[in-house]
Order: sequence, then structure tokens, then C-alpha cells
Amino acid sequence: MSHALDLIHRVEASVGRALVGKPEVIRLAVVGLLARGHLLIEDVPGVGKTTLAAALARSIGAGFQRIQFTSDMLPSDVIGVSIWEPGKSEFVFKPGPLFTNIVLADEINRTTPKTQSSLLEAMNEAQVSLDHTTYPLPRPFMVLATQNPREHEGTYPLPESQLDRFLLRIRIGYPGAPDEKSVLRGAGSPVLEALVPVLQAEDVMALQEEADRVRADESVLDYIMALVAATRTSPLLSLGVSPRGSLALLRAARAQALADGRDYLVPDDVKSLAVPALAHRVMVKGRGAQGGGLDAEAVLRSIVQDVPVPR
Amino acid sequence: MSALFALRLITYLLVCAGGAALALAGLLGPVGGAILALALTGSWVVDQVRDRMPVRPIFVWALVVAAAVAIALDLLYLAQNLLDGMVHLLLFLILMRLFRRRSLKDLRDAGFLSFFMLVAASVVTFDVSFLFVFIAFLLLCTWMLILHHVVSESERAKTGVTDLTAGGFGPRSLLFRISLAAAAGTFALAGLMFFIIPRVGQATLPFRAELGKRISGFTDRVELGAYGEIETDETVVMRVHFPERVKDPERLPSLRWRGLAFDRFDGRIWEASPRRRGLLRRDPSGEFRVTEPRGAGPLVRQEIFLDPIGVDAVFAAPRAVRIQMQVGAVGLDEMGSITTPASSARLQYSVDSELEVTPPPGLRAAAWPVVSQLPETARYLQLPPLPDRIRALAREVTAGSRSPYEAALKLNHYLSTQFTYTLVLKQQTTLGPIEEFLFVRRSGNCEYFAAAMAVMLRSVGIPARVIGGFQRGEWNPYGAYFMVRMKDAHSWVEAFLDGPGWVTFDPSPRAAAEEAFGAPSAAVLYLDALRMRWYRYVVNWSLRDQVSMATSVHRGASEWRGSLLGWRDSLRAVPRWWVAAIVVLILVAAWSLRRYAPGAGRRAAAAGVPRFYLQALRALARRGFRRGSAETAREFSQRVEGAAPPFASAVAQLTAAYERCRFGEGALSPEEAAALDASLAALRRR
Repeated sequence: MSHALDLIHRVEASVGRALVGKPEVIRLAVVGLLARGHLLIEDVPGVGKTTLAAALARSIGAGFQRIQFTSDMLPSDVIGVSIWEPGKSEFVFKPGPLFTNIVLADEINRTTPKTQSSLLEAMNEAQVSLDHTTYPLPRPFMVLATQNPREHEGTYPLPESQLDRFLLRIRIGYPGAPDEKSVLRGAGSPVLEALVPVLQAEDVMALQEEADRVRADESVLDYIMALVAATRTSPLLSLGVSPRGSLALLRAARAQALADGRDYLVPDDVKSLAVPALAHRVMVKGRGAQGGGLDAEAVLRSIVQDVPVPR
Repeated sequence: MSALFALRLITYLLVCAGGAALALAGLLGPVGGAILALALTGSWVVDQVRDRMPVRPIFVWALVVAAAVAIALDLLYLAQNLLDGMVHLLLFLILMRLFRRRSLKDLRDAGFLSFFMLVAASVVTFDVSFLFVFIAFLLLCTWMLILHHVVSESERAKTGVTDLTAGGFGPRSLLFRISLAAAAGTFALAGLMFFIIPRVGQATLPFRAELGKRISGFTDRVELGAYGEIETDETVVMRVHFPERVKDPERLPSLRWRGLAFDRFDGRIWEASPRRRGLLRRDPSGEFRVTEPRGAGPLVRQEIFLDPIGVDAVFAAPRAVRIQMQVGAVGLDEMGSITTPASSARLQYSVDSELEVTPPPGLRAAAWPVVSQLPETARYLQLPPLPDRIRALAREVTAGSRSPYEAALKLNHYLSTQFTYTLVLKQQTTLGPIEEFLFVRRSGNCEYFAAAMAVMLRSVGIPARVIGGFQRGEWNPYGAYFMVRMKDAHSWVEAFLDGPGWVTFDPSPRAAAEEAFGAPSAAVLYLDALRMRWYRYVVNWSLRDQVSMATSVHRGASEWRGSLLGWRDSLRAVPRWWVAAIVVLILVAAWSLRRYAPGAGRRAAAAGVPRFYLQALRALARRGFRRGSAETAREFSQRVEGAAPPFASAVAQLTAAYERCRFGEGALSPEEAAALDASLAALRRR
């Protein structure tokens, strides 16, 4: 237990060197990693989305790829392509940028639904199927997708069924003034490149397994059920949280408990993760899935403030 | 508070309770009480500084020997009686224990000795306040025994008592609750034994007889105006209860409590001429038969509780027919005054009285003015030398009457309407009291009215006598009895009429005068009803009561059985499907109640909450911190930490342990449990 906590702290400290002043964002990223989930980072450009993904990849000694999505991108640009190899007289699979551990899918809403869905399928199943052959993706595998909430021109909003595949939706936000100043002061020094892996891919997988073993008391499960049920009956929401959503909340909460050094869940784990884990899975009445981003969070916050916690 | 400190405190309180009992019983005056309080404070202080300022033993011994000699002298020569001397010795022993405290044993002995203070007080007091002192004593004693055991055991085991002190000794601690329960149990058990164990013999130790207030009026001589001084005394001296249900006792006609009769008047003083007093015999049923009922008025049984007022009269509603009393003999004179030798004791007796009705039945047409006299009534016509104008007034008032009864009524009416009732009795002239009352002052108290009427009746030839007793008193609805106060002392007149015999006339317009006073408050009535029950069921609890209780329990049980059988029979008459429908209805109701019972789900969820956390929540709630329903333990803890930093560490520790026990499967180690107890105590203390 203390070993796991130590490893997690090392990762967080390492990422924290690159992404200054955002421990809670780093924690959510680590939670996503430990819960075998993917992150949707919704924020304006230039607040450190890439830095977060790259620093995470470097800290765990894993492969890292960045895919900049554009509207002319094809699925093969993401997952790879089979090419005729004359020497062997057969098609040979050339893996795309997806075949790595940490993928930064930048501006995912700029590409066509076809490409989006090929990526999301890969995310869900951790494998790529092409020409009747299945190619497993390396483990650990984590996608950090970003989208810009301010620009809607020329974008293809992710449908809610696709949004459901992200474990957490987070925001980074602008850094505080002192942190920003320290970033300016250190500008020019290669922070990201200076990061060394603090744990290996096998360690990450061991931690993921440990997170699965975190004990969830019946009352905490009831609490999750109550939260989810409240989203389904809320008069403000037209679409509540799916069972996949409640499962995601439980997985995220377990990872959070592990990152906190506990082998059991407390209601706080669930409560603190309810908004990032559920807000992108609901639809506010009178709005589309995209338009209601902020409002969905407000509705969920009010639900969290109302649902009784286990005594 | 350490356990030892608590034990000392409780022991001192115990001694104080004993002292209170003594004071209540009149065995410890204000001076004695002050000395005891000083000595107790002194011993407490000495105990505090003993380690720092050792006292040379020789001084202590000198002090003890001197005190012992003083006590011996007191016991032999100074004390008024044996009991007072014993009490002084007891106080000396207790104080010596407290002053020379070396071990727990001394404290325990002081506590035990204070029990004898309670015993000493119990033999001389019948006051209901004793009950409350007794309950306090019982509680403190239980507490002291528990604490003594805890402290001595932990001393023997050579361990500190920190684990026990963590819970504290305050009114919310477990120890306090246990001692409360134990005391309640003891009280219930002792009460049961009190009511069941046969009551035989004299319960009161014959150390010191209780002498109540003496009434100057109730003697063989009554000076006019003697009742004046007691007619402001609110003390309740007599309580009259009707054991057989009497419908609306307040409406009973002419209810008074007759005591003594007086026949001779010397112009200022009424007295009873040398009486021929006979002793009544008990009849086979154990009652004293006073006279034969005439069958004219309603027969009413009264149960009377008479406080000792230093009078040997037995008060009862006129005319008493039968008396039931736990004394050897009852005296009766020819004027119908009933007396008992046990005048200094609290009396409880039952009387059957045949109440008088108006007009008196059997009235014969008699000659008027009265011409002939029966020899046996001659003494009721005696008169001192009177001014002629009194006789003239009597004749004037009774003029035109057709019978002695009518003449008496006229006199009664004249006095009660033309004169006013007052308690201000000041001699204004040098005239005789009756003359002054009739012609100058025209106001007086009941004795003047009674004396004037008797004198005027006699002056027109109607035999008359003055009666001393009590008027009816106030009805106490809480205990269903009449509450007769000292100030209800009253006198009235009996006139002899041919046919009915002695007939009561009450000329004083007293009732009208007293209606102006406000009724006593409900609290006063309730307290007096409590006192009545205390006398009835505790002080006067007798073997006879036990037998009657056993009989009524037996009767009640058999009646219950009978009614049960009756129920079964009537149930048989009910159609089967009706029974089935009712059973189904009950089941459905029970099921739906269970389903919709508020908080049922919450109770089930709260089942796993560790006890210490619930206690912590309660302690915090008392400080104004309540956990919201959607607030997690951690959020609550942070809120408390922000608002009350002194609790921060305790609350954080309790919350962490709660999370581990509640949501993890962690069990607490003994050290952790002790630390949690300490945190809890910190929450409660600060």
C-alpha cells in the first residue's frame, strides 16, 4: 500500500515539475491512468494540455504520440494502414500513431465523425481491427483528447455516445499569477526533456490492478446509485447517466482512493469525482450535448449537494 | 476530573445529604449546620494541603481526645436527649474520618457513617421532603460505592484510572447513567419490599416524640378571641378523605369537623364543666360504637389524617356514629366530645357520621315561650350575670316565634346578617365582651358569634352549648380530600330542641367573608396532595393496609380472569370471517406501517456507524455543529476545523478512524481506541 502511494506521489511530483500549480489536474490525470480511463480535456489553447500529456508519458517511461486532428484526416492516419509489401507479397500493417502508450488527441472535434469513431473504438477496446485482423494496442494505453469549448466553427461535436467513452472530463484553467510568473522565469529551460521516468509501464499496470482491488462498501455503492438515479430523475436533465457512467464513477473513485493511500472507498472519493466523471454524460433540457457543458456541471453540483451521503 | 477527586466530592456530598436530613428532622439547628459546613470545608482544605504542610500527630491526637471528652460530656449531661447526643457523636466520627483521611477506607467509612444520619433523621420526621433527601442520598451512595470500587480496584491493580476517567464523571457519562439506573433499581426494589414485608410493631424509635404546634384554643377552656391568633395560620392540620365514593363532597350539607363542646360561660371564658367521661368499648368488628344512627341524614364515612396539634379531641363530622382507630381506648363524654389519649401522635382514623339535615326531622310542636325545663338540660341554661339589654335584645329578636326552632333560626339570621365578621378584635370599652360585641363593635370572629348566640338562646330558655372544631376546609381535587388548615378553627352553637335533640346553628357569616380570599394555586394543592399520599401510603402504611392491598389484588386478578372468560365467550359469537378479516387488516396495517415508517432505511444504513463517531457527532451537535445530510464526514470535519481550531486534531482523528471502521474493514487496536476516547473526552470537555 505504502509502496503504491510512494509511486503515485513520485509520478505526481514529476508531472508537477512540468505543469506548475495544478496539482488537482495532475491528480485527475493520474486517476484516469490508474482507472484505465481516458481523459477529455476541455479548455482553451495554451494552458498546458500537451505539457500534461507529455509529462505524464515521460514520467511513466511510456511512449507518447501527439495527433493533431484536422478535418481532412482519415482513420488510417490514426490507426495505421496495411501496405502491399512486394518482397513478401503480402499486406503488411503499418501501425499508426495510436500504437503507443499515451496519446494526445489534440482538438478531437476538428476531425470528421468517421475518424473520431475509429479512435473512440480503439479507446474502448484497446485494440485496432483492420482487414479482419486485430492488433492489440500496447499497455498501458491512455488517450488524452482535447477540445476547445470556445470555437464551434468547422467542428464536429462529439456525440454523447462517444463522450460516454471518456472516463473524466476535466479543465486545466489558467494558472495562478505566481505560478505563471515562475513559468515565465523558467522559460527556455527544457523542463519536459529533463523529466526522467519514475516508474515503468509494468508498475502502472500493477497499480491499475491494485486500484481494482480497492474495497467499496455497500453504502458507498448505494451512494453512487443514488447519485446516478438523481441524474435520471432530475427535472433539469433530459438524459441521465448510463450504467457505464456509474461504472466509470466507481472506477475513478477507486483510483482516487488508491492515490490517497487507502484500500477502501469513502464517500468523498465519489463526491469529488461526480462532476468530472458524470457531467459530460448528461444532457441538460433544452440544450445539445455540447452547448450545455457548463450548465451540466452546475446541475450535477446541485445534485451532489442534495443527495444524502452514507452515514 | 480524576476518579479519586470524584470519589471525594461524592463522599462530601453524601455527608451534606445526611446533614440535610438531620436539619430537616430538626436535629441540626442553624448553628450546628454552620459548624458542620465549616468543619467540612476545613477538612476539604486540610486534605488539599496535607502533603505540603504535614501536621504533627500530637496536635491531631490532642484535638481528637478533647473532642471525644466533649462528646462524652455532651452525651451524659448536655444533650437534651439521647438522640441528640448520638447525632453529635456521629458527626464527630464522620468529621474525624474526613480530617484524618489517609486511605480510601476513611472516605468509605465517612460515607457509611452518614447513612446513620439518615437513620437518625428518619425516626423523628414524617415530612415528605425526607423522601427527596432520601432519593438524593440513595443516588449519591450508589455513586460513591461504584467509584470506591473503581478507585480501589485500580489502585490494587497498580494502574492509573485514565481509561475510566476518559469518559468523565459528568451527568452524561456512562458511570453516571449506571449509578442512576442502579439507584432507581434499588429504590424500586426497596419500595416493593416496603409495601410487601409485613408491618408489625412500632416503627418509630422512642427517642424523641414529635410535638407539633399546639393550638391554644382547643383546651378545656376557651377564652373569647382565642382563635384570633391562629386564624391566620395556613398550616394544614387535618385532611379528610372519603374512602367510599361520595358524589360531589363539596355539596354535602353543613359539613364541619366537631371537636369539643363547652357548656359553662362566666362572661369571658367558655369551659366544659367536670365531665363524666366514659371509655368506649371496641365492638366485635373492631370499631368503637359512639351512638346509634337515627336514620335521618346521610351516613358518610370519612378517613381523617390529623397532625399532632396537642389536643386530645377526635374531630369528625357531627354526629359521629362509629369510629375505627388504632388506639387502645376512646373516651366519650355526655356532650358528645370524643377524646383519645394519643394526643401527641399523628392520628389516622375513620369515622361514620350521620350528617344533619335542615330542617331537623322529628321536630315537635313545643310551647313558646319555653316554660318547663328538663333536669338534664338545666346546665345548658346557666348564664353569668348579664346586662338586661342583652336579654331584651334576645326577646326582641325572637318575638313572634311559634316554636323554639323558629326562635333559634331568627337569632341565627339576626346575627349573621346584622353583624360583620372580622379578625380585628380589640377591646374598645370597659363593657363585657358579649355586650360590647352586640351593642358597640357589632363585629367579631366566630367565637363572639357563637357565644352571643348561645347566651341569647339561653336567655330565652333554649338550652345551648358552644362547640369548638374546624370548618370544612378547601377541597383538594388532586387528592380528593378536604384540606383543613389551622386557620379553619371554628366555633358554632348547638341548641337542644324537643324531638331532634341537639341541632347545629352557625351564626358567623364567615364563609361569605372568606370567599373574598383567592383560592390556593394548583401547585400548593398538588404539593399537599403529595404530602397526603406520603402520610397515607408511607408513614401510616400498616398491616391492615397490606391485607387490604392483598385482598384487592386478589379480587382484581379474579375479576380480570372473569372478564377474560367473558371476552372469550363474546368472541365465540363473532362470525369466523369477521375474525379473519380483522387479522388480515392488522397484518396489512403492520406491513404498510413497517414499509412507510420514517427513517427505516436510514436506520438500516446507520447500523454500521461506529459508536465513537455517533458520540462525537452528539458532542459536536451540543456545540452547534451538525453534520448535513449531504455532507461527508471529511467535509464536516473540515468545517469544524475551520470554525473551531481547538477541536481540529480531535475531530480529524475521529473522522479518519470513522472512515476506516465504517468503509474499510479496519478494526481499532486498543491503543487507537484509547486515543479515540481521549479525543472524545477532549470534544466534550472543552
